[in-house]
Amino acid sequence: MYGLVNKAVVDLVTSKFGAETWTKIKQKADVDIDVFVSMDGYPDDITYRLVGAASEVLKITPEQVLEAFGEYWVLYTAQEGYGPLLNASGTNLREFLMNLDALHARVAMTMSNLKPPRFKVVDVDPKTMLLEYRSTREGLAPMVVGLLKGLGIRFSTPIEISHTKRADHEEFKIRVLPAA
Amino acid sequence: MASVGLTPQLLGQAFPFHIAFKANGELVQCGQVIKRMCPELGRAKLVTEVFRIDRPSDVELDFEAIRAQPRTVFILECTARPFKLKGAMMHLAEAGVMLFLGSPWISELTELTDLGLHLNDFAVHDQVVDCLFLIQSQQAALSDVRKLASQQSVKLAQQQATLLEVEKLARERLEKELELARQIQVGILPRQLAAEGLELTAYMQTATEVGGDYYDVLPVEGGCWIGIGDVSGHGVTSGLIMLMVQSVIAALVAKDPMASPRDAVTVLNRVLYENIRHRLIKDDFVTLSLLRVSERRIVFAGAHEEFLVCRGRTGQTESVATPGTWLGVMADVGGFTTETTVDLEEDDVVVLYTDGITEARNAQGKQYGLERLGEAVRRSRHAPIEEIRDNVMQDVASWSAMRDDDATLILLRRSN
Repeated sequence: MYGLVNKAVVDLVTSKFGAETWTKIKQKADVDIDVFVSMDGYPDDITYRLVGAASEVLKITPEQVLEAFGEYWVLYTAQEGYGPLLNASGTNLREFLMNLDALHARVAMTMSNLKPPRFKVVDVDPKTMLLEYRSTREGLAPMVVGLLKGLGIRFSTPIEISHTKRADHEEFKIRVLPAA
Repeated sequence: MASVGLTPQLLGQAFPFHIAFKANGELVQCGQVIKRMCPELGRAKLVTEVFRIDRPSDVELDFEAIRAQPRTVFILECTARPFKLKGAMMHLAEAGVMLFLGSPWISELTELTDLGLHLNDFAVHDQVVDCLFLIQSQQAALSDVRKLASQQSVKLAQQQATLLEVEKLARERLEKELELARQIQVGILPRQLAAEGLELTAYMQTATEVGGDYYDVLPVEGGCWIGIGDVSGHGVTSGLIMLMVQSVIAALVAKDPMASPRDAVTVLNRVLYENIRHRLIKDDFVTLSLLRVSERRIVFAGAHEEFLVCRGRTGQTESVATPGTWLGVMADVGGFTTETTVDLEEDDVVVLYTDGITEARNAQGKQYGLERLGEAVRRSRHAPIEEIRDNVMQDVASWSAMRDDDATLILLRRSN
């Protein structure tokens, strides 16, 4: 994972629970890195250990950690200067999801070791779509749920998400709810 | 080999920002995205109505002028909207058309938002967006470096503050200790100087920086005992050693006022050696001359500064050597300690001092010296003893403004 991901984890924990909690999580995860460098690659193992330790320290499940992180990722990347690119990637949820692979392909230009997930949008009806998700990494589906929730907030689109595991991919059924 | 051309629709997809115009400047067609960015383009007849050439700066937006500049990068500036395009001019000779192929010229991600551009607006092969990602990652790296640098300087400042605090505490402790030592040193000085048949006066100036001067006057029947010396080092240990010196001499003199100074120095050394080396476990030492003074005679032992006798009758100044060795260094100094006798006549003035007097340096670094001291005493040898003392100290003060060492002066004279 690139440092940017781990930085987001740091930022999420310290902004919501304080620097002391972060120090505890870091100790528990046996991670001895003070500052993550955005554009540097770190072993995936570090991120998984941080998620596991966060789950223990915050007393929530790893899935909840990942979901919270996914939701935060949308906010964080915008705040770290990628906002205009998110803007340029779509003016609504569907368009954004359609462009997600293209966005990652552009990012891979500068992050040459990037192993981005693949996303495919299948329209079901005007209010429903299926998002197919394929990743070389295990167990990150809850993060996708969080990402979708974060995007729902970004585009002011209330959504309902249901997750199904398929033979060779994960499937998320997204239903757009009437605006509250 | 068969060749392919592009239909206007395919050209539009491949180059969403292209503009084609004729030799007279008449617009032929343009890409969908550029038309959206600049709606005025759709209504304009001539390319010059909405664009001018920004670079090369010396080329007009003129068909022939452009034709004369093949393989040149052109930057077109829109005169109706705030944006520029960067690209190439292709001359299609058969169609009599000039074709501009390019993309928006942007250097910051935020311009994407400002221009209302989406990633889909760029042709898939267009590398402008990739450049923007590159710029963004550069900025991310820079901001990481800045953050690290500022964290580093905060850490450094904290370390320095801690260091300063530690130094300050150490300095305060040292100052307290020196003050305590000074109190001991001054505290054991004799309060009153009086001895039968003798006029006596003393002056001591203490400097915490170097320190270590010691003197004592113990009155006995028919005269007094005088000790003058210097304890190595400074601080509490020196103070303790002075106390020992004073106590041992006072005890010996109390037991036998007519004791031999040589014996007294030898006993004192034995006590100091035991206490300094074996109890305090220090390597301090003492230089000391111990004088048994009566009206007519001085008997002394122990090595310190040579002292002066200014003869009252002739005004001649004699210096008297004080042979011997350091005290507290070896177990027995008996073999090195001799006893010397100096006879005194009426009005003779005896001058005892420590090196703070004779080694006081003037602005040129020259020491005050024994000769000047002798001369200062000689000049006023018939004056009251306190006056002689004040004259000498004034002379020293006018010689040297520096007060960085202890200085002790003792004067004695046979009373009339």
